[in-house]
Amino acid sequence: MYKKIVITLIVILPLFYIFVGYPIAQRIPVTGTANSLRCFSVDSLKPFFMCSHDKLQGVPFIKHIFVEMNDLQNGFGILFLLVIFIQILLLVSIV
Amino acid sequence: MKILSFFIFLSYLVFFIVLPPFQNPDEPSHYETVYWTSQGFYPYIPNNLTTPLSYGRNVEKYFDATTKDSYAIPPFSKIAKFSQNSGKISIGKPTSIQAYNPPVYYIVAAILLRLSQLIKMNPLQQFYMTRLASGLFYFGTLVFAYKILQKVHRDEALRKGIFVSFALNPLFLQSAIGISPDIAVVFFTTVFFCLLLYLPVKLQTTIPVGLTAGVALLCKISAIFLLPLFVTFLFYKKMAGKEIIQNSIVFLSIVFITQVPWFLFNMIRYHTPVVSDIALGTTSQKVSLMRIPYGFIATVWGMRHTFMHFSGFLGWNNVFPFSIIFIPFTVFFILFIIIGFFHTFSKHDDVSILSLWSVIYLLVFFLIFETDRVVFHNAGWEIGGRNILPIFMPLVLFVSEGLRMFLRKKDILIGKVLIYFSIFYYFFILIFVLIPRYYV
Repeated sequence: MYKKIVITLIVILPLFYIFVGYPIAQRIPVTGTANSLRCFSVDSLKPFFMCSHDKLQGVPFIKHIFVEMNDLQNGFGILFLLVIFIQILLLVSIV
Repeated sequence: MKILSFFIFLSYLVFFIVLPPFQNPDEPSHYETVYWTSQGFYPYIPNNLTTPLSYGRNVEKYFDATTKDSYAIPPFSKIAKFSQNSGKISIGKPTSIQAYNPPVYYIVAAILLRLSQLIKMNPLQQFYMTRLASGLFYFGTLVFAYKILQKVHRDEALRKGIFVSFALNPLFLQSAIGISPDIAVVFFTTVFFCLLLYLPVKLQTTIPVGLTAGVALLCKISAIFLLPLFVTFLFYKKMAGKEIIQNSIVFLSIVFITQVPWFLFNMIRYHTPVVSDIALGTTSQKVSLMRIPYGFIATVWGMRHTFMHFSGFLGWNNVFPFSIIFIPFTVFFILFIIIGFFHTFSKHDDVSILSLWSVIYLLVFFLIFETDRVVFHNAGWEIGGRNILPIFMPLVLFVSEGLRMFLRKKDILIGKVLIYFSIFYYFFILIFVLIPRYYV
């Protein structure tokens, strides 16, 4: 059991970063071209994607999910977390 | 296995949603090809590729996906307006630079797009519905890939480890999501391998094998490596010379027959059975033959990028992990492939034969193709990882074989490590590469 927990924690280690946030990432140059798709300006995309504004720079991603005012965006963010949670539960069975 | 399969399904779903529209190489032009096909018209290849992705004079402003900004998302609102007003617009000849590709994948995707249009989905929903075509090919590939693995390893832990490494590779996931014929070639190649492994080699079974290879070729020209692969496989089966000739003739004839409609279509439109120079993107030029060795060496060296892409090069190959991650990944990936490749030569089972020769033929094909482009057409781009996805399963098998050599055949341990590492790396790419690139 102890081994199961340790291995699961190691495997899901990257996920903890969404709680820590991206202040560290902001100091690391984002790889890729200069013209990054930071914010989708297309109206029809907004309900499905979270748009990051300047004021959100450095905000932990987990908080970022709940910052947007649109209910549908919040719902999408919650759904994303739920899927990740289910994956963690499945992982415990796999390990 | 059911739990693992569900995990893979959820992993695919997350990537499917998180990966933004048109963030796959050439996805805008592939989508446009699908769009015109859904309207009952296969687009023309533009005459002049120096014009910025001309989609047909009158519709360029609506489908102007690749703007001066790097790969900006096209305006779906404009596409929606075009869809509403297309009856009033004189569209001339719709074009797409991807229209030199054969049509099978585009037809499948167009069916889904058309369905989404009939049930009045908005343009964004139509786009995601179209992406489902790639999803269908992806899950189909996984089914046949596991069947191949059942022929390779008796140890279930190792089988699962290889399977998860294959299914959750970030590049493979992206190609399985984006609108592009690459995943269709992978699917039909996997089916081709399965047929050869499970069916006895005789004239009657050569027919479905030939049909599969033919349909694979009708997805993308790179499937051409299946032709010499089949003939080579016959030699290894130690058949009589007469049987080899008979089976080869039947196989090649069936492949040729499947290509005839496409050849005729090109002959009518472009007066050539296979589009060449336009597809290459440049025109031929006379060069000194001394450039050939240079071009070959440059191509071989450039192929390091091809393998590098499997470390998580997403987007238009402009979204990737930090170098401290992708360089060691690539080095170990290539190292274990080489070890596994040479060790596999000592084996004579069917999977090993197919793996070895599929890798040899496809890489040789691309080496020749790319050297030709570099030397005679002054082309600047290189073969991407997605182009060698049809041999990704053999490459993963070589990696596992390399690990078995290195770890003295501790199959259960290797299998578990492959599962844990693949899932860890999937999460790593999601959280540290994909999400920061597009959402933070």
